[in-house]
Amino acid sequence: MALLFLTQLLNSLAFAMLLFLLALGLSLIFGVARVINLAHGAFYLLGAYLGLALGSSLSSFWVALGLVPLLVGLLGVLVERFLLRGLHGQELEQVLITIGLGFVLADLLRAFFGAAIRSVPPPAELAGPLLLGSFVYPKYPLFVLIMGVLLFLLVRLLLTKTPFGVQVRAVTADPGMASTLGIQPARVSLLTFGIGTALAGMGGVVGAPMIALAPGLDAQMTLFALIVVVIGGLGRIEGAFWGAILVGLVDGFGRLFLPQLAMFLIFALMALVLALRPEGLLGRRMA
Amino acid sequence: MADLLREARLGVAGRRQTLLRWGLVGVLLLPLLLGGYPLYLATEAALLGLAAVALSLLLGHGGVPSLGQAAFLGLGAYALGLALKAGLPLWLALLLAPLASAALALLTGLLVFRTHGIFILMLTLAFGQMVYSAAHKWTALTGGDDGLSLSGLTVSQVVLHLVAVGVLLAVVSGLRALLQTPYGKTLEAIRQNEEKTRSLGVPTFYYKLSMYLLTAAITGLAGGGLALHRGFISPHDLFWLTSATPMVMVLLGGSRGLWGAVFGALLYTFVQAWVSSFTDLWGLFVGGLLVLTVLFAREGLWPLLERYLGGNRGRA
Repeated sequence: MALLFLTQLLNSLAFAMLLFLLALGLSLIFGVARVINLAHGAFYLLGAYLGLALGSSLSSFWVALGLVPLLVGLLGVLVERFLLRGLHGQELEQVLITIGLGFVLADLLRAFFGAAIRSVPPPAELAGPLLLGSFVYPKYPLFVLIMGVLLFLLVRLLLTKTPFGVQVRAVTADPGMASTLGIQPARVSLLTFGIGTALAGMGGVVGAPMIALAPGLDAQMTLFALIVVVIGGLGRIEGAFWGAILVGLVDGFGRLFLPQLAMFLIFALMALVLALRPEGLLGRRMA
Repeated sequence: MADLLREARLGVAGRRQTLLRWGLVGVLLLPLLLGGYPLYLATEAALLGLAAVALSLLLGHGGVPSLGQAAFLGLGAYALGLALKAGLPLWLALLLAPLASAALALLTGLLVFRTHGIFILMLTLAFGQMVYSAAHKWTALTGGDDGLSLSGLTVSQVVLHLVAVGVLLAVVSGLRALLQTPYGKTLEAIRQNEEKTRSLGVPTFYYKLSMYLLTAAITGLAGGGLALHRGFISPHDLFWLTSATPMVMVLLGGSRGLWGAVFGALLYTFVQAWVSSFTDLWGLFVGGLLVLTVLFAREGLWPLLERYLGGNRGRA
């Protein structure tokens, strides 16, 4: 029982770190550009399929992990520049565009890669189990877990110490004030959108060996990321991190103990947080 | 209906607009002569049009961006289906469908209208997904993934179509008349500037909540009608992506004036049937349409049509 519990805990935390990758991008984009990117899951799926294609043609997971985020991020930059920029400040219109874009991306992926469920093997170095006495656990989720924590620390450092990070935080806090200080919110917004979508694409490459690829996964991942960001607090990376852990645990143990109710409870939690504390459990009120 | 007659007494531009509206009704009724698949699609368009009209009131006149309409549609469908399974008469089942959706709107609306703008969008989405996962997982009641079949039910396709179009016209006329009353004018004031309206002593919360209940009831009725029409209810009709369908219809036709929603529903349903006859890339079509409409036809197509045919005096 204790071993089952530990396995499920690690599974949940690995899934949580995957959610963190997605939620981090979504949260940064919302904070800076004030856009709820409902195509986020489609960018995830794009990253996953690109990773699958590149990984098999170059036969290297690591090259794909480096290359795919760049490609997906580039697409994100183009989307921000040509679809969303002109609608600045019109929240509903922007959300609708991202919904439409999500449909288009997901359908193109289905047309290109087929509707069959594709499971992706982990890279050879991380395949197979890790043996710790009587406890046996696959290596790959552990890798995802460690990568998620490292990424969280790295992004936190970047946001506090680098000039670009300071600009991102400034625009998140108050775009008007930031622009009077000589920061160009439009430029920061463009780059942040690229980084956010690149993170989603990276999530796709990393997540593919854990969650099999199939049409419809995009909408699920969008929802998961949205739940995490709403519960943790929009525009705060600490919120995305702890929110991801909370949702990962509720999802993992919910599936184990209350399979019928788990999703219902998660959405109920999201609705309550939105209604009673719209800034999220860890968020502050934004200007 | 009274709306149509009243506007018939207006000038040339008004008369042309009225002709345009009767033309729309004519297009909805025409498939009665053809029967078969065109009639099936026309009924579908009329019922989805009912849901689109409700969203049009909510979005275009109330300023409430709801992404949870699929839940009201689906709840209405399940209410009707389960009531019929329980052996209730059809009229009672058709009454329960809007009531169930209105009850959900009351429960969620109390929380939804504590927030504004983009948060309303996310909150309605979250509530919609709650209903979806309940319908999906509560297999004892809903049949889960297998759906709920209403086999053994005999409703004539022609009668159903006539009733659907009749209800649609009555609802559009009724809501347009409602928009002319002080209640409707107050809703418009709230949409334009809620702070100012509240400072005049208007309890804006209750205005928005009551409008939300009304549109939910209409959507629930549309859902009940769709269940009768299709003879089958699937939980996947409640998934949040389904909420995008009435949204596309409303945007395509134009969110103000309610006739645009009817036009959008008709156009969408037939174009979608045409597109899916040669490709299964449904999402590419809907998504592309959504992006293009938002970018290039923000006002919707119906006002453009009205203005073009009705001279410069055309109004939405």
